[in-house]
Amino acid sequence: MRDFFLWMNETPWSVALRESFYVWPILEASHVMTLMLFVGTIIMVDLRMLGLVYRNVPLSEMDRRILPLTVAGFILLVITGLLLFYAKPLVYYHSLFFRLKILLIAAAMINILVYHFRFQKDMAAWDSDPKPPRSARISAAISLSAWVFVVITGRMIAYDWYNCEKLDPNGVMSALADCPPIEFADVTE
Amino acid sequence: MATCYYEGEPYDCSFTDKYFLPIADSIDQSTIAMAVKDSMLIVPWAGCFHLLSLALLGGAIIMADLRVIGPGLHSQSPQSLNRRMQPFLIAALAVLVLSGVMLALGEVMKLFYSPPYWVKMATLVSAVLFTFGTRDSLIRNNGRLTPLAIVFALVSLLLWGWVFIALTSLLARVAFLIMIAGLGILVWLSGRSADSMPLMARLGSATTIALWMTTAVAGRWIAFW
Repeated sequence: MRDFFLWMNETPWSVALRESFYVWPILEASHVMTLMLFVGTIIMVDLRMLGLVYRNVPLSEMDRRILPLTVAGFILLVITGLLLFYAKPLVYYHSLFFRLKILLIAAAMINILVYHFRFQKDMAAWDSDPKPPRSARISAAISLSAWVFVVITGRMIAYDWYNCEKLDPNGVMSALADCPPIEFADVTE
Repeated sequence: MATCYYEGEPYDCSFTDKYFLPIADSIDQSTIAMAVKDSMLIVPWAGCFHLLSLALLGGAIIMADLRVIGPGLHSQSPQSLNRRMQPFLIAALAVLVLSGVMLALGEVMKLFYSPPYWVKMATLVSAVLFTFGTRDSLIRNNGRLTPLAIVFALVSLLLWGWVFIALTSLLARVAFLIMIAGLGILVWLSGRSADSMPLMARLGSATTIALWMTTAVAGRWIAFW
């Protein structure tokens, strides 16, 4: 996989993107702005599922009126995120924070699937309850904390404390980041 | 122009440098700024809290103001949504300011000479004035402008207009105009639905969204300048 990203790193478009004066900052800024849309709305939906706000609003109305905004935000985040990754594939590939972020996103996705296919079936029965059943509340709590940590790990990617060149080459962290052998270490940046 | 002194020697410098640089310098040398700069963790964590509270602010604004101009919970009145979002908005702002101060203390001198930072401070002030002075009153009074709301709107929009004129980057101006056009279309489209709010209320909410977006984008741009 590293070879693939090594190749991607050298494609003309990738080089152009990371060296561009305006496009990279615009992508970065859009990624952060869309966060307001995506995380902002998902916080509200999760808080409703926890029974903390909008207790008189049926959950189905939240799903119908607010979730489309969340999904739109998510799509924009994925597009800008993929382009950002494409610009610096090796940096992100070897970043422990990035790897953790992807795992957290996967966990949040699995949580959504489990909720959708297991707990949401009988939603009609508790749709208008001010406080949804335990299973839904647990799902909302998992979702909320997963996205909070996605934001935190995302921000931390910018810091180089755990970059390959600072890790013990024979340590666990180095293995987790799939760091290249030390003589090729300069290739990562 | 003013005259500054470096080791007793006079030289020409701007008024800003003469009167405000010493203030920035003393903030930069203060114990708390030193502590922030010495710490490996304060700035990164302040950054995380800044982002998380930005998301919360976004959520509160979206739930309250997007409802006024269209998408949102139509089973609830805009007044009730705005009331319920107020604590979230204020909490988010408090964390944003607190974490923002921490972030700023880490790089006082860089920010002193950073145009995006001053653009952000100006739009932040105008966003706060407009949100709590004009838009709240517009929603509460169902689109009727009170004299006080007009005063807040004038001060806030003058400040915002001045920022736009002072923007030197073509990119920023284009982005600014695209955003205004997009929100204008939303305001126009939302006027056609049966339960739409009065035009003034819709304009107020669109302006609020625009003000917070400019503040957030300018904030992100500090890092790229």
